[in-house]
Amino acid sequence: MIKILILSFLLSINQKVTLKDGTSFEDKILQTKNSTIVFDKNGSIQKSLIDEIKTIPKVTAPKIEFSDTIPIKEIIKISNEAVKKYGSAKGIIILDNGTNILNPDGTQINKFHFIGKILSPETRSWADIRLSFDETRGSIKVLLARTIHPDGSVSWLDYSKIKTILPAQGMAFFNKYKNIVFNLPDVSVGDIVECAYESELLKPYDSKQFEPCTFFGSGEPVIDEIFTVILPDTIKLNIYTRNGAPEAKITKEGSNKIYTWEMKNIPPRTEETYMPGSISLVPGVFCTILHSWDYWFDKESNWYKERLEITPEIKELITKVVSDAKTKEDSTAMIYHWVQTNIRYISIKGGLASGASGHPATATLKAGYGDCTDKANLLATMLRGIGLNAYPVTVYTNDNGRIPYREIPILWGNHQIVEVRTPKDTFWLDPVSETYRYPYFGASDHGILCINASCRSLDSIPVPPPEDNARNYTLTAEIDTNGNVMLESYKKYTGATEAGLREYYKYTKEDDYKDRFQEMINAESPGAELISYEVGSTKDLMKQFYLQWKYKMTNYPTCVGNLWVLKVPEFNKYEFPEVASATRKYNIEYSTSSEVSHHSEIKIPSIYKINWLPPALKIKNKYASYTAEYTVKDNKITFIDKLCKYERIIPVKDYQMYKSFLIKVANYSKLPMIIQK
Amino acid sequence: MKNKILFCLGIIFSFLLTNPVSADIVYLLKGDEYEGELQQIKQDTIWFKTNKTIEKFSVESIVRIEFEELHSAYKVTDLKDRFIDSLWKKGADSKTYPNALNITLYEKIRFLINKDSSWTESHRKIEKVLQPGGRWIATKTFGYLKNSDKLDIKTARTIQPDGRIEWLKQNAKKDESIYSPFPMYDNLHQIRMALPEAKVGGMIEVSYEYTFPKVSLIHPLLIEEYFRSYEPIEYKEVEIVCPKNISLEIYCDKGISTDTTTDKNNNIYRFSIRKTEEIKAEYLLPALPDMSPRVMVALKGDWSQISNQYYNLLSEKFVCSKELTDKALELKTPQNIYNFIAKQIKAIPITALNQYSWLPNSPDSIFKYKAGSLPDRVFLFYTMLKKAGFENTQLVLISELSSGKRKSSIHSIGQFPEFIVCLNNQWLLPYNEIVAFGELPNEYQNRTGLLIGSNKAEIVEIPSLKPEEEATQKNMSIKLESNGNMTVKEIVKLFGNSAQNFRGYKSLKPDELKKALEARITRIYQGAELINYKTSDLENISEPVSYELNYKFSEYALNAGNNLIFKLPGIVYSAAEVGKNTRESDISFGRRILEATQIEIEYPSTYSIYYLPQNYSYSGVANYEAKFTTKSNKIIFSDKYWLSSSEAAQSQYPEYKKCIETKTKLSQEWIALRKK
Repeated sequence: MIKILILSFLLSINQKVTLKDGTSFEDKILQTKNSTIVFDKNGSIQKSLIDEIKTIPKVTAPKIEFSDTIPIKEIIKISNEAVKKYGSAKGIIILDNGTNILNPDGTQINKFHFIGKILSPETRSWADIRLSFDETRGSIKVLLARTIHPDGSVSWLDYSKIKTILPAQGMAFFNKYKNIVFNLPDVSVGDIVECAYESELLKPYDSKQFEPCTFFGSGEPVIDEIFTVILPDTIKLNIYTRNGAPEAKITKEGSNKIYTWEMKNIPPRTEETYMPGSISLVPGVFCTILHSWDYWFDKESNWYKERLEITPEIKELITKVVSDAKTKEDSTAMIYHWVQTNIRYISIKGGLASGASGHPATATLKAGYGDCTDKANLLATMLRGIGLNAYPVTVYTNDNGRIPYREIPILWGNHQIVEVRTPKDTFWLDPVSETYRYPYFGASDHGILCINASCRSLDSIPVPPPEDNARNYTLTAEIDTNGNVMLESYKKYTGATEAGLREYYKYTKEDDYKDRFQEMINAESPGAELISYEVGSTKDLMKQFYLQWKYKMTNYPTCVGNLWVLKVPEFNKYEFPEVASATRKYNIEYSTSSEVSHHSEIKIPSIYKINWLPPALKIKNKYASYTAEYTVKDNKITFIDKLCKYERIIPVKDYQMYKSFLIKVANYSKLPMIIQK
Repeated sequence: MKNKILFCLGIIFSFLLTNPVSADIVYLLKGDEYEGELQQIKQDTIWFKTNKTIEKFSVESIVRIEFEELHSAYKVTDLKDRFIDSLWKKGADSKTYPNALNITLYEKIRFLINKDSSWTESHRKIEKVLQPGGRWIATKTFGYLKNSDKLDIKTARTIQPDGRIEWLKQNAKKDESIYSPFPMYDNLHQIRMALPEAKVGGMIEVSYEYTFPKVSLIHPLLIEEYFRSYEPIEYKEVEIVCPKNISLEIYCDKGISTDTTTDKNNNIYRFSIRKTEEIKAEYLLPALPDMSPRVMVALKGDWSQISNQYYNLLSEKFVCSKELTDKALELKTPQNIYNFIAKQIKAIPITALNQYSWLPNSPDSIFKYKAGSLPDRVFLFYTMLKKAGFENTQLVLISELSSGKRKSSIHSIGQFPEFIVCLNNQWLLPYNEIVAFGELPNEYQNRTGLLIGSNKAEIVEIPSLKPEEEATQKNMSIKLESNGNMTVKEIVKLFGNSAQNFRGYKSLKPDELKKALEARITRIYQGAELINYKTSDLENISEPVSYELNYKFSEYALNAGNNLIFKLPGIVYSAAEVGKNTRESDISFGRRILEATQIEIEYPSTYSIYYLPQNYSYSGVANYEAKFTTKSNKIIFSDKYWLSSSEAAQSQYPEYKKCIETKTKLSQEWIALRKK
């Protein structure tokens, strides 16, 4: 199909034209003739051969003179002193200095200056610099890049080796950010690397989006870390600090106000299992020029008005999806499941609008793919189609730390889900997954705040009760006089555990199920023989997922003289790596609450009697509880236990108590039964 | 008047714009984006038609306009393609293949070799999604070397069960650099794309073409196609069109149909297969090429010529600076040179020459830069050994385990895209800073390679390391008290890949290392308490790796009446990987290993042994021995597990299964002591 266009471009900035064959050039468009576009220097090109035209801001000289180079002798002296203190570190950050400037016209400049001492091969990666930017909005200039050797000699970066590259991303992600990359030269262990660059944002999306933040410290020791914010003194900066961040030093220069925070001699951060996201732990400074959420609420809620339109196609789809629903809850569930399973996760980000609030629901429906923002829009739209008050909401997932939304209005989020408000309650759904049965949703969304721009509120998403993330195991077993056991096992699941298992079996071929079960029972008892099995539906999310199998084991108990020593089959010992250490530095953070329970009935031969059974155990604290009991009746041993973890976060001050609790549970789970002829 | 004309033109344009509407996208400065069709630009204003209205934007407010490709077909019937039509109507479905997640309905690859030996490779592949788990095929990547190759995506579309066609959108396609963090190696790129609307029952069709330069040592031709995969294939065909004056070497596995014809100027070879079953997911699978019938083709050649010509190309790079030569002489010994490269020349994670260039960078440039890919570091190592006077050092081209077994009858350097050094029959690869002199990662054991520069033109064998070179040796001394408490001293020595894994702990801080070791002992017993520990110097790759842990457990042994009952601490084996009764594929262990444990348990003198497990022994493709002895009030347990070979045939699976189950049974045994 041929389109006829008349085009005339009058441009004051460069235009970069990329053709579909990958070649590109910069030029000015003069006009169009029929289906060709006429350029100033490159003649006429068929429009169908053009991939994109983008405007590139003119690159200017650096706005800031790089005058704060520390003399080399001084750098070496500081680093030598630092090595005396932190010699066992892999590297030492001598200086980490970031400056964020807001200009009166709304443009921004960020300057970074880094000096690091390499003490081991691991930190040689500090010499590999990758700076991301959007070429349609700004630029990056490298101000200084060198390696300082212990003898004071310097290897300078050959600037011709700096490349601008479109980097590979994860399979599902498509954006247009480019990287400026270079490697500092001649770097060996013992050298110091130094790099400074300026990034200029000439065309910000929104002049109100100035949110400079910093988190002090690193995995390696830091000698001096400085964070500076400069803005016109007519603009009031909103500041929030936490975790012992220093107070700002405030000065004036011309018509600008300068805020500086500095910390020296910051010891390195260490890693622990189940620790909180590092931004929650370290001294942090958050800044914005907004003083309430109103601006973002207005902006985002306007975007959502366009994005959540119930078009005729969406109406038709809703009718089809809920055709078998008997109740409103059924309809909600069916829509939730439909969006999860029919819209594949692919993230295409073009601008702030699609980045922050996704594409219109109708576009996502047509494409058949989308990311969290897109899927949230579609889900919210479809739920509105059945009369629910559904809203896309922004979150920062709990595996990354906490953003202080209540304390300061910064629009930092890494995910979007949907909040549904009914007269009875408010609940949340996360359509990004493909396997969550209603009403469960992603564990990383639990126990956090969400930003609901449409309702102009910040809402707390609670941690669901443990039964919403449960594994419940039921087993019956009969042992004969030869020690052979016939077993039937049934396992059912809820929440994140259910979703995870359903996903595993969804991507496993049905023919392979038998092999997988055979492998599992063989791990339990070598030589076990699978008799039958059943797997819950991986496709129908309305149905709870379960696993069921029947099998036999030979010579299961260990014969110790006239004793049989055996454990309850499939009652595998509990393991708690989060309490492996004698002490902890940080809170324990789980993604959510959980529950595990067993109900096992084991029939033993009538000629055997109980010699020893573990005594009942019932322990509880404010974070968790465990009950377990063995009872006997008519040659049948019944074992019932339940472990509930109620809380997501266990404060470090309660670590010893919690550790002691979990050790008791773990050690109980190792205890055998002893029966005797 | 002018305005009237333009107004009329505007009206005409809107009439001319019929369905389907293009999906151009305009991105605004303030962050909004609109999908629709660019209508007109006039006097710095753009008119853009969306599905609702015609929007007006100033040129200055626009950041980018992306133009979607226009297509002539949006329904399968528009294509007027009988072949596609028949696949859409009658193609395989989930009833025919109830187990498959997706299926290749049709794949054809055509290699066209030109007279000057440049060549093109054209692909067309049509797949179908059979289950929701199979939708991943709608996201694709195609790699190419940007400095020499050309890649052109011709077609990318999905055909829905209802016949609608959805075309790939330009904003869901990206041409990106794989090794962007390392500019000096920036050559390998990929085009990655996400096709829309991949639904169950839908078809995915892509066609693309590579153009390659003339065949040479640095642009070798090696055609290697596999005719089986992890999902079924209905039909696959490889066609090679080659001028009659160019001779080819061809290898073709049984089960692949072959056909040879000619036209005026060319020989045409066709290889095809119908209805292949998928490869079953099993533990310890061999490389895909070894499980799949394959075709391999190269230009006629011989190894001697390839080896010598390649050596000649490399020899230009043997000229080294005085600085490099002096360094080699200063380091003196092969081990010192190896350690220098492992520690001082940073490992850039690129392992193969064909990922950036068949000619390595000069040793001087890597020496100066202090960083390099694996081939560049191996080449530097080779050069330094030569400069240090080790004349019998040999450079060998090799391929990784994942490439499968090589075919010596196909003479193409393309079979061996990596380097390794041989010195006095020892195989050396300065892989990174945790692989010691003489150690070899799994991927490079039990391989073949091409010796470079030898007049004999040798294909050489790189054997698997001996089991004792891939060993884990553990000694535990345990004191058991009558209350069930245990105090343990554990000394472990590690060799080969096990040593490398432990050496990886060197990047941990002291606190973190302690926690990692605590985690190890609590896997044995949750309440274990680490008393102290020491490790060998993990930074020093010349030193063997070992560690000692001293720890204790409370109430490890169960006090049950007069009995003290416990399992051997730390002996936990699983038979999960041999759960199946039979197996379809051969077994690839990757390396020969040896795991040996000795445990000495001193128990209270007020107890005697009531029950000790029997001794176990099994030998075959895998071997296991376990023995219990007693001495005074000590129980001495020792066990040993070792593999005689790094691979086993499928027919040997039952004996492997028996061995692993024997081992597992031992680990489930209890020991009982009784009060005297």
